[in-house]
Amino acid sequence: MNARDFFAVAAQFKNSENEAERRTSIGRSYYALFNVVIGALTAKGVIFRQTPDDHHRLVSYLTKTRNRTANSVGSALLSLRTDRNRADYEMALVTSVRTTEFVFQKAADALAQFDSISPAEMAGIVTQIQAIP
Amino acid sequence: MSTENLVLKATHSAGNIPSSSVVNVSAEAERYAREHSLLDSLIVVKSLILRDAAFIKSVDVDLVRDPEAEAGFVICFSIQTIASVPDILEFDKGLRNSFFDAISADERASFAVRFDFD
Repeated sequence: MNARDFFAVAAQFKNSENEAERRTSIGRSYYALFNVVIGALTAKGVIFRQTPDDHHRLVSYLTKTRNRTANSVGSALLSLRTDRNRADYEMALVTSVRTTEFVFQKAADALAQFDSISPAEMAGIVTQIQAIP
Repeated sequence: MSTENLVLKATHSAGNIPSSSVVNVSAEAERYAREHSLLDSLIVVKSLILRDAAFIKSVDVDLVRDPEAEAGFVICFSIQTIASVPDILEFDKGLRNSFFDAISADERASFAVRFDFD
């Protein structure tokens, strides 16, 4: 499936009166961005280990490059991961409509940033990631 | 001067901080920052956040661990805000851009910034 389709689910529930649906929206927003980015880098030859640590490995890779846009996307992924973990594990916290809307829009904006990376820039990013010890 | 006082000093030197702003750094976050030589960057991140503090109600700085990952301790700045979603989206994008200039590449993945809206 196309991970971008997660955004449609996130959009459907981001303003829901049901908090469980809003928490679902946060998770889908994060996973849409995560899966698109990791899928694109994998397709370019970056190796991931297919473990839960790939979430932080992806952030580490992006934020160690010299590309400003890749860094911004990496930082967004890291913060959105904390939002997703809170949504899925912290039942005592309240997840508001505006927080859910923010997470959705932030993920969408970060995806647009990632999509704006030119093929030449992407080749440089991949080269830099592959040079990380 | 304790680390927390150093952090708070940095907070107050950032300027344009409304009297209602409250910054809380947990002992765990402070200890982790000290043990991993992240204290300077923690203060830088705090200063970057408080550069435009008019919309900030409070900031909690905690050490958070990804419950699904072996690795993944992160110092997380949780900002309670009174601003609009579009305003915070713009601020957040600028903040991430500032990270690139102000935080070393090896330390950027140690800091997360998230927002809660009233």
